Amino acid sequence: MIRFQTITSFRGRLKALVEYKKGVYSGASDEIKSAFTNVSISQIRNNRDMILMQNDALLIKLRLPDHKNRLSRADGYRLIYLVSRISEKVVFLDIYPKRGPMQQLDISNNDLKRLLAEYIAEATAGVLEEYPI
Amino acid sequence: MCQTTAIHQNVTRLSRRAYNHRLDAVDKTNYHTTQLARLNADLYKLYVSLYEQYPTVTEADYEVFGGQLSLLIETLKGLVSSCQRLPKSLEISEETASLKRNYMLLSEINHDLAAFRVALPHDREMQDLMAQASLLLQA
Repeated sequence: MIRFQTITSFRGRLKALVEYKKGVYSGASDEIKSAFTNVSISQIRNNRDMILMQNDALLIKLRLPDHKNRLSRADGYRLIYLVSRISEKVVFLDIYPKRGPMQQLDISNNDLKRLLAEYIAEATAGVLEEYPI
Repeated sequence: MCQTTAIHQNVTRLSRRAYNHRLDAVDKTNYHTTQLARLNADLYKLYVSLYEQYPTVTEADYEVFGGQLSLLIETLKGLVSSCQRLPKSLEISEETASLKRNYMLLSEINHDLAAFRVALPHDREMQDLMAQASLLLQA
């Protein structure tokens, strides 16, 4: 069974999106759920938008649509996640929208390093939280 | 290895066209929405082609077309700004919005190619972080 986990930054970003005024991004959680429901671990690992593969870890940027605002994958959300090539473990690191008031165009290498460092610290401390899919 | 030469030629052609559009947009009376629509269609095709080939683009490939792609993106940024200043009577706002979208899509893929396909694999700090993360994912 695939285990989905999150780091603190991810939970903060998702909360900010979902609670943004007028419900602009209220569909973000549904898009994540929809992207990972009934999907095999090999499909999760074999994403063409791979950022980096190192040892047994894959860092991936997944394009998600925004059905609520009728936006395609190209214009919807970007979900950054870490997935193991051996264990069935997926860790959500970040999510951002490509459009609207919280729009973000891309993610810098320094931000990726910060997110990975946060994952390492929280996994070591045992404070990662499960994400229900 | 991706279709480097074809991409480079396509990007070069589009750069020239985008630059000519910038000149045409200055002459406000002689600029039409159909011209911009044709450019937009080709820019989107370029984005789709780059996105499809993203997994196979190597550092050597990007060295061939990366500079020209960055130049195209800079030109598009200027063209978006020129089009936003055109009078409403030209009814070009819808195509200007599409142009801005194409500019953003191409900017993102150019960033991802430069950062993720070229720079990150050589980044020692990133390699160390990924190695640690890899061990923790197995725990």
